[in-house]
Amino acid sequence: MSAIVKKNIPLIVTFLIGIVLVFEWFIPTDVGNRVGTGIRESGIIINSFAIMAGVIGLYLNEARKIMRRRDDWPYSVWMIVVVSLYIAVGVPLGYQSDTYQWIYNSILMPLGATMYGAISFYIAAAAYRVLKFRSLQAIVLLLPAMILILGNTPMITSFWTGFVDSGSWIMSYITQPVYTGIMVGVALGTMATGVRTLLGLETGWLGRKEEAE
Amino acid sequence: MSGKSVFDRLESIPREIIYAILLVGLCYVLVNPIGLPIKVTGETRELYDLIEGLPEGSVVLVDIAFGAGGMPELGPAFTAVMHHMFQRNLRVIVITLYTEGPQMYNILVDGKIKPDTTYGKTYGTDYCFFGYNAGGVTTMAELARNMRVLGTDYRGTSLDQLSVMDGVEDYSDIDLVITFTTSSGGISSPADWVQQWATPYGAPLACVVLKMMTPTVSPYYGTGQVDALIPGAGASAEYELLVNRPDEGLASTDALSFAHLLVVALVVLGNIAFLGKGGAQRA
Amino acid sequence: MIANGMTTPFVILLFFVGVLLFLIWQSKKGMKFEMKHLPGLDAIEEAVGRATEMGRPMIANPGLGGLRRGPVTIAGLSVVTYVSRLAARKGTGLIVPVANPELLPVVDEIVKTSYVMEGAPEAFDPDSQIRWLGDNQWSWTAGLQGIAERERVASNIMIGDFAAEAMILAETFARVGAFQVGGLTNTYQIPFFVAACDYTLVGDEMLAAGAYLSGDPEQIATIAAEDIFKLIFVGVIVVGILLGLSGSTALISLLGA
Repeated sequence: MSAIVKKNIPLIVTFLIGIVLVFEWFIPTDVGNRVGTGIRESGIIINSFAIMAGVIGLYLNEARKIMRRRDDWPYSVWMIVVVSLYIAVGVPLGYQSDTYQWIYNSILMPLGATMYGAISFYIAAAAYRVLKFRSLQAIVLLLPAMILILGNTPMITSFWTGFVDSGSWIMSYITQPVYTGIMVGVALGTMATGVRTLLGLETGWLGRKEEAE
Repeated sequence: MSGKSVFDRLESIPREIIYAILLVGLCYVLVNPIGLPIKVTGETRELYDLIEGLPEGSVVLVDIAFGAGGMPELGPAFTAVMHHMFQRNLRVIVITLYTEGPQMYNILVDGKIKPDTTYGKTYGTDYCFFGYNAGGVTTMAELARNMRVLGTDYRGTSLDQLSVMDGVEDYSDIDLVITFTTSSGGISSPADWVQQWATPYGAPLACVVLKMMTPTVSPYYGTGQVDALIPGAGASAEYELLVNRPDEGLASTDALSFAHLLVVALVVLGNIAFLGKGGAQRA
Repeated sequence: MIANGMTTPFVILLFFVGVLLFLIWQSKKGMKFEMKHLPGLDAIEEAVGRATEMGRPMIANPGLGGLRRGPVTIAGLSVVTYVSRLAARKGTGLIVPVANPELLPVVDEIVKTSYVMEGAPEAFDPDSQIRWLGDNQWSWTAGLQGIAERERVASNIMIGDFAAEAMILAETFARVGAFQVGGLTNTYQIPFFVAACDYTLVGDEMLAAGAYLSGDPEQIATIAAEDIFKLIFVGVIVVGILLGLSGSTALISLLGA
């Protein structure tokens, strides 16, 4: 595939669509609204196709592992079986069908909830390991953490709200401003990356710039 | 003799012991809840008052942006808030941009709340569900301009045929947006709703999020872009109290307390060991 | 003409783009911008070296999100590019876990090209190096935990889009003794990375990774533009505080215009 198709066309499309949407956002006009709406609706459809393309790519990837008998190839077989099962049930019966719901409720939901619940174990172990009076920075981390934990313990707060008030103060006057600062930095970084992407300076999403050249 | 002091042992409790204590303790309090009283915080009351202040027939847009992982924390809050909206005879439009959203809708609305039997509500007249859409923020942005852009609900019925959608054309016809989300960005995160609905159109927005997400959303809450910010865990129990629907939220407060107190105890133990070691070494 | 309440943001955007383009132009003319050292990014080479010496594989993890997450994923991919080149050069075992299927072809191409450019195309093995672990957050996490335990990974570079799984991953890799460099923009997960990782990149430090690692003068110029605006915003905040204390709402009105 030539560099023009692989690199230049995607960059031109990105630039044009990005510029149209940016101006449409700030300077609403009838024509701009119609074009913007069309682009956004197309985006919704393309997103759906991207998911489908991803699934096809997945099948090809896992099939290749099975054919080459790579390590863990039985898991690739299992993966294909499970994906196919969901598709075989979901497409004809719909994702609202009882069968599809049963598969989800019986398998995916308990697994997901279990993994999420496991976070508490890791937090307990990490807190025990990390929160110590090692240094001034560690103390600054430790004391507010203890206040906030106790302020979110219903057993404590039902009798005394001191920790709640202190925790709210910490969240309002320390955490919130700090996070706001981080968010401003991230927003600027996002803006810069967005402008770089529009101008074609950022091509990481295309793959490798050098290979395309 | 291994040569390890008491403090060395205290400082190196194996992870497996910690996990076991936490597991056994949580199981115990879930099976044998203590049932201590809880206080309703101002944050929870803010969302309650927001919904209470809406006239009957107002339209609320509810976004399900959590899956199996967020279900334990946000599920009870979602249930309690939906109960409240049905009690207030509000029109509820549910959307989801999350792949697991439809499953959450089935489990919580059809399976748990059952508006038809519990409140005599009719699907299509009092509430509806748009189903899953893969468009992410694009869909969110377009919905603000045209609430009928998706065309049909999750059953394939045209939105024009649903009387709950009467008079609902764009953001201006939505009286409140509530997002129940575990997302940090890209799909239905609070920031996305702020950027696509609250900031450009001034749409009233309430966010029910994971407790640990609160600091991330609080800057928007502080500037008034988010009208109510509710952390899921604790707030679920409080909201259940407010709408008089005790459920899993209240039942889990003891487990919450146990887990927190165990963490505090472990930290205290670890520091006793750390400081004791330092003292022993100096001696 | 401009939408209600959008005038100031539009002006700020145009000004930002103007400054950005000006600095990029200056960088093409030879102006050099110095970036401060980011220990987290400097430590990546150390991480690769550690894995090489120990003869164990390392992980370059771009995170859970796909291209929909935009800048965050792009930053993660920049790091994967850098790490894969180092790994190819030093002959280090590399694993790149991918969650989003849309990202699979992109990551495949990035890593393959790195190996080709380092003159080691035969060392690239997509089946064992690029591992799709599931689009679901928890299947991906469980898969990574399995990799950490089975392969006793020596180094773990996770810079990208991470959510609730951040704590689990950081703690699991810490348990297997991996050297960890973490980076994410998800503010509420930062404390977990700080607690468990050897180095952490916070917020826009992570978004600067591409510029820092590539050393590309144009990209560094955009970082300079960001820094200029940070200074401007600090100035606006100070002015805002002073005006607010004096009871004036002029600045608030101006920013809301």
